[in-house]
Amino acid sequence: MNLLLWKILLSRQGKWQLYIAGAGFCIGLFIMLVSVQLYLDLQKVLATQQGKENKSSYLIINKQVTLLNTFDKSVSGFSASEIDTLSRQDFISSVGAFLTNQFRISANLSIQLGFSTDLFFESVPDTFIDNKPAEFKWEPEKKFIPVIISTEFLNLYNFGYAMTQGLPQLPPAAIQMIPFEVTISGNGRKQNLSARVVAFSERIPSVLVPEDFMKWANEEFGSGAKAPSRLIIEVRDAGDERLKKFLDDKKYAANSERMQLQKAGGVLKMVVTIAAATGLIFVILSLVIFVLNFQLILSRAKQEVDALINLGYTRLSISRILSLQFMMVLLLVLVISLISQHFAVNYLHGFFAKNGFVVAVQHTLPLTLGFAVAAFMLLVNSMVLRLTLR
Amino acid sequence: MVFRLENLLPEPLKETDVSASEVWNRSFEFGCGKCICIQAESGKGKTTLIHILYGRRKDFSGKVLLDGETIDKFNSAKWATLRQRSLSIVFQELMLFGELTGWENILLKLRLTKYCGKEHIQEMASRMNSAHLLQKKCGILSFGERQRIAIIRALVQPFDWLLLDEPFSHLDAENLKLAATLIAEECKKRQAGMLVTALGKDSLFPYDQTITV
Repeated sequence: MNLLLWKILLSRQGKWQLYIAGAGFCIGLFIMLVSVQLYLDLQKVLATQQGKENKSSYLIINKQVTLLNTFDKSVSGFSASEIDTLSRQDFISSVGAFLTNQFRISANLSIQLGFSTDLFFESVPDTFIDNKPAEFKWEPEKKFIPVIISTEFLNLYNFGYAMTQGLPQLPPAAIQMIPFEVTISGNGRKQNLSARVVAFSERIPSVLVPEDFMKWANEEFGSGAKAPSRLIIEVRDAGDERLKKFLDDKKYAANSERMQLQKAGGVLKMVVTIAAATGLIFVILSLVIFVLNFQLILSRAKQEVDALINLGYTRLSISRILSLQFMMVLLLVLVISLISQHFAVNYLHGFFAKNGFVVAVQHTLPLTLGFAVAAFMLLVNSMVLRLTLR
Repeated sequence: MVFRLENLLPEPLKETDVSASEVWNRSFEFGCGKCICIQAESGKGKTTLIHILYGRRKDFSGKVLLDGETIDKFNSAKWATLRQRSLSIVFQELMLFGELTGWENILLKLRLTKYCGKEHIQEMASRMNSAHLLQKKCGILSFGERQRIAIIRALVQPFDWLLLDEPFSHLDAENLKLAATLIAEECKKRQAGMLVTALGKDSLFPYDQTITV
């Protein structure tokens, strides 16, 4: 390294420009790198929340209930063409219809005579059911209806009803042991069947029976098929913006906690992205100041540059010595930013952990990104320097 | 190395009468290893000629050929090489760096050429009564003192031509003689040619040729 060149050229630089640009770069890079880390963390948290059940998520949708539905029930049904439109969206993997009973159902507990209640049944295609046991199928000759109820219903009974009414709490296994009698009637006919809860569903808040049974019973005791008013759809990403827009446009209501989480996650991602963009703007502005600083050096040292070239120095060697200084400044600032980023991220991870989100991974992407940004700035500056010296 | 001029005429002299000149607008050749004095009163273009030959000025018509190649085709890298290996110069305005010491100014050139050892520089400085100037910043030296530093700087490289643009204007008779002897010796060592500009007649060097521009 030619210290004499350094002395000639760099004694002419404004120290303040360099300090301000350095501080701007440091802050900008810090914000940017922390944001990138947060973005990755967020993605991971959302992915693990989603991954708790399955890769894809299921949403249950219905038409929004308005006064119109109250008086004309047919308005709330999904027509075949509407279902077709849904299944053709590429963010929806599959669509299943809920069938409802078109007949009367009353249930009696077999062991306690006199306890009787009206019931409703729904069915969905088998592929949409989580925890489907082998016995969940309709075999007409057995006259037995397997039933899947929502875990929510059980919770509602155990923690809501039973607690306040002084009734015993029932574990799932106990529920599954209680058989009950079901009487279905309609079209002037009547039939007794036995039934039992065979499983609990996390996914579908309903009382489910096999679809084959529902179809058969609706034919026999009901008025045949009717447009379904609820659909279950399988989507790859419940947070997909296109899905949200589609549902809003069609005025369909979807109820999913995960969708809420994805929504909140989406908003957070946006905020973090804005922060990263702010950091980037800082970095770009600091690049501009850096470049101007070196332009200023060259214009202040015009005579010296001329004299050096007359001594036989090349323009390349002159721009190299300026680039070298820039590189040292960048490296210094980069190290400061990366160290601060490391501590800030550690602190944030501690904060997350206190709030129940454990993300302890320091990604290497911010590190790589930091070096890439510095390299890019060096490149831009050396190109501008060469153009100026020409 | 041979400089050949063909109908060379610099822009600033376009309007003036150059019929008395032996160089402008004629064919002229600076032969290998010659010691040449360029003589004229001020304003006739002595410095301009030196600057054209050194590649500093490009505002001229006609041609300048260096060993048969037209010099306006040379790129900056070629000029840099020439200035490190083949052409040396003492500018009239010296072009020293005021914030560097005499020693550092000379080193700045030596870094490029690696022509001689530091002892040789010390020796040349002593012979020019300038050893005591080396550690002082050039900015505080007198013009005559700076001229001596610039001469030493011109001698720490190989060259085929040494261009001296009124290099002794501020030297007293004794220093002048010391400097001229050293320069002549160094040129001889390299078998190099020398172009010296002067206002009037001088007999510092054994000139092969004295020309009027």
